[in-house]
Amino acid sequence: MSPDLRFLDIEALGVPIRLHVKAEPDTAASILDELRHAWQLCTTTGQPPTRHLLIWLSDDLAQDPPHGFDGLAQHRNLPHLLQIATQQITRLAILGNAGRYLMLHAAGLAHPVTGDAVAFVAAGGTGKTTLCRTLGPKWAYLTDETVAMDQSDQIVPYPKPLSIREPHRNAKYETAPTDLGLKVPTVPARLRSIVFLERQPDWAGPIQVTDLPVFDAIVELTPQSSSLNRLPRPLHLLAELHARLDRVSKVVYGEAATLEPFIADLIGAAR
Amino acid sequence: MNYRRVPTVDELYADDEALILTDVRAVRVSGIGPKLLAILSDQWQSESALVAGMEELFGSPDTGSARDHVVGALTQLLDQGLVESDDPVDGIALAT
Repeated sequence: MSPDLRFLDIEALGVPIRLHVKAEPDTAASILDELRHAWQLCTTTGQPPTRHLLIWLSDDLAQDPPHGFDGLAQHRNLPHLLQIATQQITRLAILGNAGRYLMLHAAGLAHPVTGDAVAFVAAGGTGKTTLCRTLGPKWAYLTDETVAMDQSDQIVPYPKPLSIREPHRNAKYETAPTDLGLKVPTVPARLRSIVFLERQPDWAGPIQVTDLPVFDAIVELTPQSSSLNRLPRPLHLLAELHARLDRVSKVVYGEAATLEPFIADLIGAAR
Repeated sequence: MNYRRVPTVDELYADDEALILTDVRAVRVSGIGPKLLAILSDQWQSESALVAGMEELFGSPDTGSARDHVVGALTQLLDQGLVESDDPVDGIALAT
């Protein structure tokens, strides 16, 4: 039987992306089902796709995307394949918004009623997903990866699946936000605070919060932003954002759950 | 030796500090660095011209020589990748 090619349309940060799945027919159908479930909060609004990603379950590894595709996710192992697909979708979404939005490498939670939002800035693998998984159900989920906002600080939600490592299993699994009790806000989300996460696993005391002056904040933000140079006068933009926000802080903590009162102070207790 | 600024994306000045965004990162400049950056341009200028320009605009330093202050600041700006010199060893570019 020859490999089957099926597709699913999603929108990531407003970028319409067609996910093309290539695998044996039965497998392709189940991969498509997994993608449809994992990306259920990023459904298409009907825009025709402007980016095409090939998701290919295969032992053979190609170097570049085939002609007609903007990205390639390829692996022989399904969980790894889906994780690579998520990374590629994020890459295409960021590329599609370069010069349009300020994009921070951050998780985002919002108050479900007011839309007041906080961005938790951190490098990959340093606590964003765990924070969303732990505290996200108490507020509304915007993203665990990229906070993108327009000039009025309105955030474009990117409620992507979360990569979760299950106990006793090596691979991370792309998990639908709804499976973790996460919901997107029903009102527009507007950024009110930025918090730089500094998780120290051995940290046992109360969380330590330090407010950052504007230059300190910009120096920290710059390496955690995407395509910043494509925005007009980016340093001035960040300085003006700093002035508008309620707080820009760094927090040292051990466990994500201990951040709950701090977040409630920033955007209000939710439920 | 001659010096000139390298292109930047954006610059922010406040009090005695500056933040300079290059293609790769935001660099913080303090001390007399921001004043020196204001005098430097994309045209090559000699060390002597820069010392004279600093003294003319901002006066002599309270302690030490103006030349020592300027050379120290230029060395720092070179290290930070904000300035290049025509020194083939320490500088980034050769004068043409």
